[in-house]
Amino acid sequence: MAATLLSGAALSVGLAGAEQSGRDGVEATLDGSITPDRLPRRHAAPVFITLSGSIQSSVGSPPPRLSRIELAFGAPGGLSTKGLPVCPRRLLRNATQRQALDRCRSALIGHGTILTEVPLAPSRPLLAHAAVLAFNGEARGHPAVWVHAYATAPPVSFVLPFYLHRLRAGGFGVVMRAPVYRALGRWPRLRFFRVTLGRRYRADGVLRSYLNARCPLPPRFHSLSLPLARIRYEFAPSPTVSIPILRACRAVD
Amino acid sequence: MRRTCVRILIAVPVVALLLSASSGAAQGPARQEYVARLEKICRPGSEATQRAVGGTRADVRAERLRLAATKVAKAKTIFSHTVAAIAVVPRPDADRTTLTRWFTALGRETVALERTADALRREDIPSFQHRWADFIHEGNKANNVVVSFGFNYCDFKPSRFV
Repeated sequence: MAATLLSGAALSVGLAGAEQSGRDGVEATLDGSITPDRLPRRHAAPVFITLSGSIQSSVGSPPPRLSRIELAFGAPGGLSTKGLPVCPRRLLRNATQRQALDRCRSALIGHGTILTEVPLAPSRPLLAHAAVLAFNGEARGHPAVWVHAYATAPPVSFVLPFYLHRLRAGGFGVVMRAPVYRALGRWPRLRFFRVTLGRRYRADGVLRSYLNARCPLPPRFHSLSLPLARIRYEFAPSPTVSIPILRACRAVD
Repeated sequence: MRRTCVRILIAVPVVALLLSASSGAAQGPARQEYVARLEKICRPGSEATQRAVGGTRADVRAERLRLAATKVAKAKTIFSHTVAAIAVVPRPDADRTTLTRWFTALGRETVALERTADALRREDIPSFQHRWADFIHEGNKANNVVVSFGFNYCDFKPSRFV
């Protein structure tokens, strides 16, 4: 009960102040921020990005099954995985949070929370509030993020794979795609997530950062709302809901 | 007696017809029908806005502020025409309060867009930074009022502007 109340509170907090979009009885949100909020104009600086989103039905029934989630953020050249240890995905399967950390701590790139709903009885869905760890991974030579979720009550452990692609054109530098349905199966439905990504690490004697950003404003500008991220929720069989968010970019010289 | 019966027979269907017509008018269209009608009106406006503001971001970055002002002013004209066109569409009775809030928010969004264009025209950068943030904020607020309607073209999409 306490877990349910906590999850409900997390969900309502997630909705407040976030951009919302709805289609065909589904309401989704996305919120985000970047730390630090003041960035150099010319060269990229290490950053941490926090993104949170939620999904709910506007007609009372459980939301439809999410088949794919796509998250775009950052600027071209903003992602660095050079020298960062890679965690093999198999080491995270069925692992508790402690086991996941013991096996892959060196590849840790983020953390957060996730709320999933198991609508076994649609009138009283089972809510699972899980802690999330994100690890640097690799799939077919491309960078990936393994999002490991673990909850004790009800017992839940799964790995949501996000495949990363660097974008050369457009407003964003990185796009992460996760085949949610293929990874989670029929029952768990994503209701809410909050994740912070970013990591400072040393490789070849050089201090590096997993995520880097700058605030490319003209000299006379100090602050402007620019695109920070975009999420695309693809539900099966429909709809697809896309939410771009803009946040203030503050430039320092 | 026979004449009275005929009158009643004629009057009953006429009254029933009037009643059904008036109740239909009171209820207004269903939400789905309303959304479809509005989307049809918003679509050309939304596409024209996207064409009108093409390159604004690059103009602002290169500090071609007057050129950006012309584009944003054009977007404002398209936006206010669209709002005027959708405001006259009969609204579903059950959503009247929500839609009144939405149209109020759209009015604030129009003002914010006008102020943004004005700040760019005056090349007043601090004011532009402020007005642009207001415009984004008002747009998001307007969206959140009607999120359950599932609009696409009538939704505020900042990506159309930047």
